[in-house]
Amino acid sequence: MNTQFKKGVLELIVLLVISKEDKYGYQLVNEVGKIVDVNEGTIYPLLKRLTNEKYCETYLEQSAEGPARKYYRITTAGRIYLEVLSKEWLEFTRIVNNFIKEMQNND
Amino acid sequence: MTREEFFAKLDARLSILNENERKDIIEEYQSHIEFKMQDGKTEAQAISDFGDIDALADEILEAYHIDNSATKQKSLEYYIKCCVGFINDVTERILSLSVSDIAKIIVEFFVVLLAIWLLSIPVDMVSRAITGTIYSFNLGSISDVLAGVVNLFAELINLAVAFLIVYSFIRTRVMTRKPVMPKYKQKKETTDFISDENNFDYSEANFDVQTGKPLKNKKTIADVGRSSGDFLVKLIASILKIFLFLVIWLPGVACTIMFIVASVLLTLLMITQGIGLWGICLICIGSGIVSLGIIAWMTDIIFGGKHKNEA
Repeated sequence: MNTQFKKGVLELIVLLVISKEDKYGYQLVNEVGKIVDVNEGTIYPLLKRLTNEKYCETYLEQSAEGPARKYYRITTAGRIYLEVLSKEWLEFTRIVNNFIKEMQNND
Repeated sequence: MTREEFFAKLDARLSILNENERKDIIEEYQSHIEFKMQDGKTEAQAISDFGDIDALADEILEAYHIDNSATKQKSLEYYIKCCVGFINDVTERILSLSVSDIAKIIVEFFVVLLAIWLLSIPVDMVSRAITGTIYSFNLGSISDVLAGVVNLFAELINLAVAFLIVYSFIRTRVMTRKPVMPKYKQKKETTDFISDENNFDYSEANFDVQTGKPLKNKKTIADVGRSSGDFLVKLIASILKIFLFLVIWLPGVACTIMFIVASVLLTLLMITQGIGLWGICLICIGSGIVSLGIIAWMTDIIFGGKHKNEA
């Protein structure tokens, strides 16, 4: 898929994933990877940015195996932002879909 | 590529970012690799999954770039951050004044006080003339009241003029003086300049985008702390700040409180003179609004003059 498409929607997907349940970075990367095929490395800067903008917050949790896990939790601001993003996305895709159909019918 | 190599390269590529950001990202990648290895991948595989290191670094930097410009949320927190940023800004400006600037400002301030006093003379004269005329009509107690009102107005005009002068003084003298640029910044290369910029919260960067205010003052708070170990300047600046606070704000508030008390007394006086409830209400509401306005105005002048000016 077009990488610009992916980039635009990545933020929405990441917020959606953490809106259901707190996730640690690796888990999140894997879940997002199931939906859009992106370079794993790019999700971390996105998470960092979302944290800086207070759309999510982080906390550390020790685990029995492996390193401490840094969990990401969505904030209220994040939920509001997510709602805005999903609405925009749905509206945008609806318009584009309609336009595609319209153009195809004209042929 | 080994892990050490990977992180050394990534760190070098991200050197434009501030250290904390860089550390956070690298820590995340570290744990990502460890998780991958737990899942049965080799270190080299985990690293190669990140793809081309230059492309990765570009993606990371791009994420920060988007951060700087794209977000325009106006949450409460955003406004609080703006306020904090603004207070920092004003403090920086005052802190960055040189000793001679401060000396000049103090001298000018006394000139301003003199000007206020001079300007109050004609107002006082006019009010005295009017009260004189009122008494000459021999209206008894009504002339007392009328004279009181006229005096009150005269005082209000004096007060307004004084505040106007002090306000414009602060605006032109304190706020428009450019902060002294620390020498250290001029020597540094662009990369350091950008990383300094990144030291600051992104919300502040947004703040600048929003107001269209140049970024130039944003870095100085750190720079001032680092470069000018000149405690004398800071000490004098602090004294000046306290001085401004004591000389303008406190007496201003005291005057306003006195004004409120005076209007209450006047109201009581008018009750004894038999003035209707309507008039009393009017006076109370009027004096309340005026005093609140004055207090707000003064607070604005001292703590927020420049902000209002730029908005």
